[in-house]
Amino acid sequence: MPSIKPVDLASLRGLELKARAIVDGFLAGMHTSPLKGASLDFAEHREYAAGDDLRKLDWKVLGRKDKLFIRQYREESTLTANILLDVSGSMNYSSAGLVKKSEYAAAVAASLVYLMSLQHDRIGFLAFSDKIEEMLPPRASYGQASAVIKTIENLPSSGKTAVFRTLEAAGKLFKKRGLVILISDLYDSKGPEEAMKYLRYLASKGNDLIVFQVLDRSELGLELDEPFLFEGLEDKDIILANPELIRHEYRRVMEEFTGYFAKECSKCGIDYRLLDNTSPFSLPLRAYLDGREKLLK
Amino acid sequence: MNFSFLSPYMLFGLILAGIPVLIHLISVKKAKTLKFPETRFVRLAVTRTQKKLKLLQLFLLFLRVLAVILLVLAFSRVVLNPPKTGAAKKEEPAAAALLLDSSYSMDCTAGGKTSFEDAKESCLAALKVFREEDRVAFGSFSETVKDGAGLEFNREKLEQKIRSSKLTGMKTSMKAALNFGYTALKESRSANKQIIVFTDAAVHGLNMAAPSEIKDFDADVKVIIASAGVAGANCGITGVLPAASLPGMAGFNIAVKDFSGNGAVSAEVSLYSGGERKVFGKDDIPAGGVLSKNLFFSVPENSDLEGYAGLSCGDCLKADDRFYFASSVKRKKNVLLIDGDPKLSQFNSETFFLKTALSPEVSKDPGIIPSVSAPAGLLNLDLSVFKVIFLCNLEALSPAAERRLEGFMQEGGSLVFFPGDRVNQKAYSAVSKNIFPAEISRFSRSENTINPLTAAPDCGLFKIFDVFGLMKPKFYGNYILTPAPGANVLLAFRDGAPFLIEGARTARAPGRALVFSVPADRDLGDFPLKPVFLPFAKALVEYLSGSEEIAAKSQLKCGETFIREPRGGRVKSASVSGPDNKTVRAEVSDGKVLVKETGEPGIYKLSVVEAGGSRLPESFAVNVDAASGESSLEKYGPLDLKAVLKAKRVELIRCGPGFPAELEMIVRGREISSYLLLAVLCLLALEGAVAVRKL
Repeated sequence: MPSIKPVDLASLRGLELKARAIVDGFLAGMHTSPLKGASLDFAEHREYAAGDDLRKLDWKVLGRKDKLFIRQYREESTLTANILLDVSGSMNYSSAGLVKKSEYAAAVAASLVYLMSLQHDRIGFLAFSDKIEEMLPPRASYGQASAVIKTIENLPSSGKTAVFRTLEAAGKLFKKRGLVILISDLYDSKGPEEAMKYLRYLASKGNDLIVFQVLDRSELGLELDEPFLFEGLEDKDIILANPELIRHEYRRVMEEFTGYFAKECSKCGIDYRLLDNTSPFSLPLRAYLDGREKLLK
Repeated sequence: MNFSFLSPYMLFGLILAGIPVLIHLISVKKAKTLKFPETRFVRLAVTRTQKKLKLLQLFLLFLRVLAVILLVLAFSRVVLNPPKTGAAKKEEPAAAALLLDSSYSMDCTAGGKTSFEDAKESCLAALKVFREEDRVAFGSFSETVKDGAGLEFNREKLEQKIRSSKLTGMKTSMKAALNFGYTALKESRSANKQIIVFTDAAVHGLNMAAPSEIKDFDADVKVIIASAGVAGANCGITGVLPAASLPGMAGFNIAVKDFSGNGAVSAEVSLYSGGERKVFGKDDIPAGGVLSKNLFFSVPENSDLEGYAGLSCGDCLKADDRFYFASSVKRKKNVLLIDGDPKLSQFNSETFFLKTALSPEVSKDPGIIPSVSAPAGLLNLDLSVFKVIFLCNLEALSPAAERRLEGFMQEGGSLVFFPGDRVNQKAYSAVSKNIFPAEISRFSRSENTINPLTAAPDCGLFKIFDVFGLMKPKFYGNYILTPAPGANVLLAFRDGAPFLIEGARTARAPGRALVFSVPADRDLGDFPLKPVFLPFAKALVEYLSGSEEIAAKSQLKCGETFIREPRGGRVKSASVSGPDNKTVRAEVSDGKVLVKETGEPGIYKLSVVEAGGSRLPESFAVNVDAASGESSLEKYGPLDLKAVLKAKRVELIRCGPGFPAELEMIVRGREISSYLLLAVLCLLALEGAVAVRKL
């Protein structure tokens, strides 16, 4: 199955179907399956004691040494992955001919959820703007994946972005350490420093963080041809500018903005990926698998 | 620095400087609204860009306004003057040599003013351009520089010299002018030197010499040609020559040339003599060509003939419309033929063939008048009216005849001897060798022809007569002649025997004496029967009468030196009166009389007092040299001038109201319009580059 491209999203109906198509395309494109089955790792032998489960006796040791030993395993664990999806007003933007940032982000989130369900991971979901819009606690059932995808599908994009507030709340909500995936344009109303502060906070609690900063292509390069009155999608701020004149400075500002997150995330071990709404879906999926593998080691 | 403007009215163009401002205001556009995720970064970019953009737009505005201002200034021909370094350091004094062309072409008149007057006015104006501390030299020049004054501060003296300058009849010599200028400026240490030549800037004046030929040439000296007058249409008389005359009439051929080549010009040509117009004729001068006009008028024989040919065709230059002439008293070449063996039938006489050949009907030269006489005529006739005496088969010369012939030769008359059967060889041996420069040895009877290769190369006779024409006559006998000491064999037979001998000329007897070895009739050959005999006889008279020599002495070009050769008597004193009876200096040297001051055209009369008493006044004519091209008034351009003048800076400017300002610009400052235009181009290029970058 060929991998689906962001521009093709509109041709598929239903987010679950899109997620499945994305993930199936992704998996089909790989030479070996990246999926690993849940298994228990052997830890050590212990002498048998009354009341121990006989099913755990190591019969091979009994045959060789005529002694009773119990095989002990590390605690069984299943990965908990929480997806934080930005549904603020600023995500409701696309330049001509491209999918909206919110649609792209939703497709990424849904395909990750679907991939997680294949891994039997515990999936948690949190949608936010300047407040938490929807939240589904982590569970490891297939039904959970469907529920999350359905939730994502029905989310409107509105309100301001307050990443810091979401991250602060998540730090308190996520009791068990796991993988936290943030999908946002990171336009925090209090500035990138505040968002970064809470990303560090969340990482300090033992979570592995993957940050997908989703931006429109024209947001990065300001590829517009004529002067416009730019009106903010979140704060209704208006400014007159000629893209031709400011393009050079704007690109420098955006490079500073995205570069700040890349640099700071790198410092505290957070996996930061910049995606524009034309980036292939394999990028976030690959990042998730890499993060998962790292976490389970 | 200070600026002055040659076209200040162009400064109104400064209003155009407002156009870029207008464009700037119009270019503001109305914008559409665009919903954008985050305006914070747009605002930040705008804030940052605005700072740059404001500077850039101001810079562009500045460039555009500056470009327009510079353009206007360029069209206003702004002049950048040297910086004044303050009162403590005075500006370096300049030095200039002013040279006023006084050649006759400067007489060209346009608008009631001659080029010379125009040039003189500009020369006086130029004097005022220079400051008190500047030194100025002045010279009036034609073929030489006259009344030249070296560098000096005295303006009054210079002004007086300029005002007193007069036209001459001579040609323009830029070499003489430049030589004077460079030499005069040599003594100045100023770095600001210039030679200013006030001339008609006609093509004939482009006879510049190579820098190596100019004395004290300095490439740093500016050469400024101030062009005076206009290049008007001009025709001029290039020569007046005696033409074939009718009995009792003088004939002149007048050559008139159209120098401007403007087309056929109707001209009236007149001959004036004795203060009255004798004759005139009208004709068309072909465009750029020459009109040859013959005019005749009656004159008493043996009279002096002085006067001029005048041209009236409405041209602008009058100096070459008059051509003076002074003819000799002995206008006709009277020839005396002495027949030593007269016969009843003239056809059998010795002189029949000579008389026939020299008669005006046959010779077509009415100037030659042959007269025949018996030997007694040598004693009876007034020999002074004759130029040449032919003595044919004369038995002997009596002492009285010999004395008269000697006097005849002293007056410049010439003798020609033809021997014959009556000749007494011994009697001739006793005759003075000045008269008969040969010895008759014997008679030879053998068939013979003339060898033209033996012709004396320097003999004037063979310059006017083709000696190879004498190859055909056959001779059946001849007298064997031996040349007297100093005598030359002018021509010989094939067997080497002399055919014609000429005696040596002396100061005492300037006339020529020729001896033939054959008779003048057909007794010993067919020479008189041959057609070649006619031109030969005519050429012989031309050669002996020496008319060409006299004509050359009588006609001079302005500036040439008149030389009167010694005539026998010792010259005690000489005086000359020039045109308008002005006294002209004459020098006497080695018996020669020299008249050097011949700058003005006209008739000059020379009175010589010799040891034996004073002679009759002699006259000679002096004329402008129109044929040299001086009369051509076509002007040259700056490029022509730069091609021949090797100075670093050469300027050609017009005399007139704007002359002082232009001269001041060259002397004191520099017009920077071309630099301004260059700067405008650079500014526009920069503006384009910045504007594109801005986009």
